[in-house]
Amino acid sequence: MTDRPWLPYALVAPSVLFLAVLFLLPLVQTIWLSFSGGTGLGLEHYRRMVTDLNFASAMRNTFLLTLAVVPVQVAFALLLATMVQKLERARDLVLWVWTIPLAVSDLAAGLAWLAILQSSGYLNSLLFGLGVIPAQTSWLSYETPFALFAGIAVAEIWRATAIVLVILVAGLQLIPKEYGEAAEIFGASPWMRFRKVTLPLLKPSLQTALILRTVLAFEVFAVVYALGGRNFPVLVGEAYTWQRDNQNYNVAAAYAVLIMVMSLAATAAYLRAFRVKPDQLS
Amino acid sequence: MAEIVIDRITKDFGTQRALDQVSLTVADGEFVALLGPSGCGKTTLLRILAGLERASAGRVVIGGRDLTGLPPRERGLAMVFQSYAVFPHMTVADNIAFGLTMQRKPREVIDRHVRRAASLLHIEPFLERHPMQLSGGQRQRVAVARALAVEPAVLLMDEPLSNLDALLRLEMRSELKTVLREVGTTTIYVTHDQTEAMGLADRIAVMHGGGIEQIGPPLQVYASPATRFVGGFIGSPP
Amino acid sequence: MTTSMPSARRLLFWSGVVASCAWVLLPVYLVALGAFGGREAVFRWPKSIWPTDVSFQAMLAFLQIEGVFKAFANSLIAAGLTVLFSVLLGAPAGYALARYSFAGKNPYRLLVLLTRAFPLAILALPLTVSFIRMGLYDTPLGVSLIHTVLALPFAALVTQSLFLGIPREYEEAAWVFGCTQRQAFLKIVLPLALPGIAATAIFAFVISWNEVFAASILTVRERTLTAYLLTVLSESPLHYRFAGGFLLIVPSVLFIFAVRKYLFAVWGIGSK
Repeated sequence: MTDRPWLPYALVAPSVLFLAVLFLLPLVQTIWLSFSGGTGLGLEHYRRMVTDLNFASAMRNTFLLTLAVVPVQVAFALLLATMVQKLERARDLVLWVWTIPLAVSDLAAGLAWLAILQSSGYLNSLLFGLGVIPAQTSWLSYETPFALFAGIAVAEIWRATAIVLVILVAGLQLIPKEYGEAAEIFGASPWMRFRKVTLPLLKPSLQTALILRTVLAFEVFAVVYALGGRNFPVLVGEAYTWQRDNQNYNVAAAYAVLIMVMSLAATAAYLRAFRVKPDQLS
Repeated sequence: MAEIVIDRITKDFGTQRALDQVSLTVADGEFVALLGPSGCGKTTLLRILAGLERASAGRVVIGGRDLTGLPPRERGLAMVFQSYAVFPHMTVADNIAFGLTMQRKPREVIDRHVRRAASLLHIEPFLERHPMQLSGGQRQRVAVARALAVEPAVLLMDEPLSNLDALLRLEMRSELKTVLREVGTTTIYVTHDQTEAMGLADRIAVMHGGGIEQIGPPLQVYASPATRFVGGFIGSPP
Repeated sequence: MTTSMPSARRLLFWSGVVASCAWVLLPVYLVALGAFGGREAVFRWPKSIWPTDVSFQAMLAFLQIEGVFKAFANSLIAAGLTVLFSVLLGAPAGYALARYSFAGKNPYRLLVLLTRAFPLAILALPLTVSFIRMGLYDTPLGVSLIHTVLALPFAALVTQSLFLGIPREYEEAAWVFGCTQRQAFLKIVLPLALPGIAATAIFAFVISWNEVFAASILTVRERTLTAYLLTVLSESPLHYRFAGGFLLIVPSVLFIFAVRKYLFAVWGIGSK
């Protein structure tokens, strides 16, 4: 039945058209918006963005958050993934529980942790009940920036570890257990087996997970908004404010381009760092 | 009349020639086995007969009808696939009835044919079951029943027994022989197993490298190999 | 059973598993508590971890607030449209990717993967202007179009592996026994693919239901639930926020539970 060579193209065309109009086009438009001003193309919006009061803290906050959260999540997910490998009957149930955060909107996750971290929240109730604090303590306020940061970081770790977990579990499954068994026979301890056999073979999955998670971390928004409001500026939050409140589409676009460039740079960096030599594969 | 005339069929996959000017005539009611190692082109030839591949050159004529260019459904053939390809979401009965259902035959005609095919293959007890509840051997029978139910002009079989274990294969081989003899349909049977070919076929076409090295009744091919290849392939020479 | 571990290790292992499960479930439980605890429970201090005054009152009151029910409906419409578009656009593409090799196959896969590398929701910014011009601004339809960009790559690649899992020989058998290509697809492939397509649809639904940024940018009066909650975050009473959070979480979690086996298979996690 090879008499309709145009068929695959016809099947694919609608989605290509759709993505061209609703992805490629806006992408180009965003870049153009960020550069176009009253006097033709220029950097005035970028200048405006950079000199804004909140810019420096937004940059710093986004970076610090990413730096704090991503390694913790990867380590945690690695631990959970190896634990899942060892389960047998309970495996599907446990895996489902651990991936529940994937189904949860980042806004809902922010609200959940708000319930815990707010002044009259569950954390304070616990600490008060244990006698650690005398009365309600505020963790999320403007005056307690470190606590606010920690709270947001914890909420993010809760929310997004599942993403890394899923990628790593899939990657672990691909490693034939004969490798580990062979290492065991040769006297390697579990930790050594992990370092020398599992970890190297997990490199492709780690690379994917790191790229995905880092790019998503640059885009953090709703969790921060729920927990900190405008006390904790982040890049996407600033873009949102510039667009909605200030009605300045151009500066918002500049923020968008900035995040895009950061994501591409991070992706390139990870690809370079995790370059898997072909002769190392199986 | 279901005489098959394969007239100088050539098939190229890109720069690779899978079949080179293959010609073969099969008489009505005859059972011809295409025998050869993997890569010799036997399955490709079968698929061209079925209409699943298009020949680069040459013609296929069945019962006086030139089939070249016709889609599979218009060729009046039936096929048993190596993996059986029995539809998992239908009952055994619906599977066997499939070809007739597509032809929009009346209900009673379909039922009659289904029952007959099922009894030929001894699978009446399974008619209301689903293929996934059956063993591999039973599924294979469903595939054969499905092909026989449409009473095709020509029956094509692509290594139908190769997925069965050795004991079952022997059992099915003799059963197939009985059933096909009773039905009398022109059959083309692809296999790489020479004992199978020897046991089932009226004539064996030994294929190699895209061409037919020798064709003749089993004993003739065995006793008087025409080429070195045939001699080395059939039987176990010292 | 993990019989290969000494019992002290086993205890540690299982406490780790249980603790991690609790870690995941606790915040969800607390949102539910907050949603059904009523006004008093929310402002009670210190908070009890057990469900004291359970009342559906708060939830009902929340649902009756002007705007909430409409937001809920808008989210439903947007998510439903997203499912429709991503399946209608993605499934044929997935079929083509699975069954054919054609020039442009790899560039297509690249394009699809590329959409993941960019801050997608941010593309909502320039689309605001285009949407205003086209009358799509502030409509669930407009929101669903952006959400489809998010869900489409997933739909295409997942349906690709779905169709790859349905042997070509089923279609060939159907052709031999009397079907045209379209009939074979409708009678044989589609019924077998339906569970997987349903799972894809559900995941597309969840993606749309949960999305915050684009929905907030693109709506003003016809807000989706996420946009609504975001904008009234600072103003609304606490227990209403939890009710909203609960409404956000529940459908997604239930849906994902329903199709978990399928999603695991798709992510490459086999079941034991």
